[in-house]
Amino acid sequence: MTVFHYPGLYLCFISQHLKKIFEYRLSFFIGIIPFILLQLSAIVVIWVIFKKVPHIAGFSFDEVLFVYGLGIVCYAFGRMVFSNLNNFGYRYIIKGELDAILTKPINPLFHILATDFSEKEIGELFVGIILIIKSIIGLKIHFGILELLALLYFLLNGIIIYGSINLIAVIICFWTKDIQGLTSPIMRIQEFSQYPVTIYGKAIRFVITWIIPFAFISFFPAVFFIRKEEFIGYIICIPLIGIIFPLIAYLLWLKGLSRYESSGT
Amino acid sequence: MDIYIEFAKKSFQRLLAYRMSMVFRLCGFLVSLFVVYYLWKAVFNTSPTIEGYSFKMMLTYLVLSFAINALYDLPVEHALANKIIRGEVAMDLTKPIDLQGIFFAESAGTSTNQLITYNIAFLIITVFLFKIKPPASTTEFSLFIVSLLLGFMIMTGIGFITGAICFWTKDAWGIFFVKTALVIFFSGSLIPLHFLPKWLENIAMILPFHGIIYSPISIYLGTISLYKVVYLLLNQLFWAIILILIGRVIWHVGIRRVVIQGG
Repeated sequence: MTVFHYPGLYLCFISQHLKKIFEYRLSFFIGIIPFILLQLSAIVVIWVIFKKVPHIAGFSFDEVLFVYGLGIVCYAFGRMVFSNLNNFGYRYIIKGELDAILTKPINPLFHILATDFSEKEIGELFVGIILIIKSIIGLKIHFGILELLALLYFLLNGIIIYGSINLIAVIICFWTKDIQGLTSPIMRIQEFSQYPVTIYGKAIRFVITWIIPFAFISFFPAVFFIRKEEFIGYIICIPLIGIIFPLIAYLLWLKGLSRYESSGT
Repeated sequence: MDIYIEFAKKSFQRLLAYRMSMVFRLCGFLVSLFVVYYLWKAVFNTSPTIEGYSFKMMLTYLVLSFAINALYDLPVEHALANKIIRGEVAMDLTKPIDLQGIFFAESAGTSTNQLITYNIAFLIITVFLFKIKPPASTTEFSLFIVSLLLGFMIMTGIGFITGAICFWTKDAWGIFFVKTALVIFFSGSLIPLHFLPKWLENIAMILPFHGIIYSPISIYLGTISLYKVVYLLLNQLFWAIILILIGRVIWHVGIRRVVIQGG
């Protein structure tokens, strides 16, 4: 088994899951509606705000929408792909499914990620894409093939950073023995990066930039397109964070695995 | 009546077991609250009063909105839906109790639990952090409590209806989440309803949801005339009764389906 087998294997796993979705089509549609409604509600709030004031913390309506839209796409896609991580504590540690996975000749992290896939965020994903298109037109950003490639790269980079943060937030339970009570508050910090980070105080900005780098997922990529020059230093760091952070996460994961003692069930 | 009080107590005790998850939920709520705090701070930096609200009033509105919402994030509906979907409700039908009454009693029990274990902690922290406004006067505060109770009746009435819909759909999760999303927006949880464009505000005021968040907090802040206060309270009472009646009708129609399927 080499690395080249993995894409095919992933498709194989996912196609099993897709069969389930097609079996329960009504549930699928009812499931995506509330996510879309919640996003629309948040967008209405932004829209109402900009009916009252022309800009907040130096950002115009379309600029905020661009930041927000890029964020939705990364987070929605991240949650779709990495959804099974959030079952880790219960399913793999307590119920002991990790034992079975460790006996298989494939990378255990890959196995866990490929096992499940969340389709409920697909509606949000479309809302995000529409927001990005709307704001690119509104901001009159020149958008050629290079910009498209840059955007795709930033999205991929953002999704990988998201997954790394999620992985770290989950594998803390190797040490705390607590079943991911901490994961959800950590992931919730993501909410800070939905809006331009310029609205926050220094402490929060520092945390979401350098401790839990949510700002690198969507905000700094967004200001690259909006051409806010004061962030140039951060923009240069985006690819670095996109390499270093996943590495840290994976090393922690390996360290956690070596600490793992089966529950024996 | 004793039976219903007993159900409320049991439902209260059940939740005490989850204290740690409450601490984490509290952290989660605080994160969301900080986000809206900074968002609105930036907005009010540009314009000191908007639609008659100062930044401090806005903050008070949002803190209370979070606190009231926290009262309702409850497992009672899921329990009802599961009973219906698994057919266990057939057993309850043999007992001499009113299931809608039980539903309200259990919801009251869990809400009281949330209030004592969670909301008080939340309010102490937020009052300390954000220095929210006290109620306009004792009269306003009493009316706020009345409005809050009527809001509870509305929310629980809606919860019972969405639970009873599970006689038809076999998927509780989606229905509940759609309801939650509608409630969040149209109750004014995210933004005071009079901030919305007129047409959207009118839609929100026609629907019952504004009685859950917007009415009680507007009364608390004392921004509306006495005439409007009375109107809002009567409106809440009207919806509470209507929703309870709708719930009963849907329930009785739904029960027949159970009998037809043989439970």
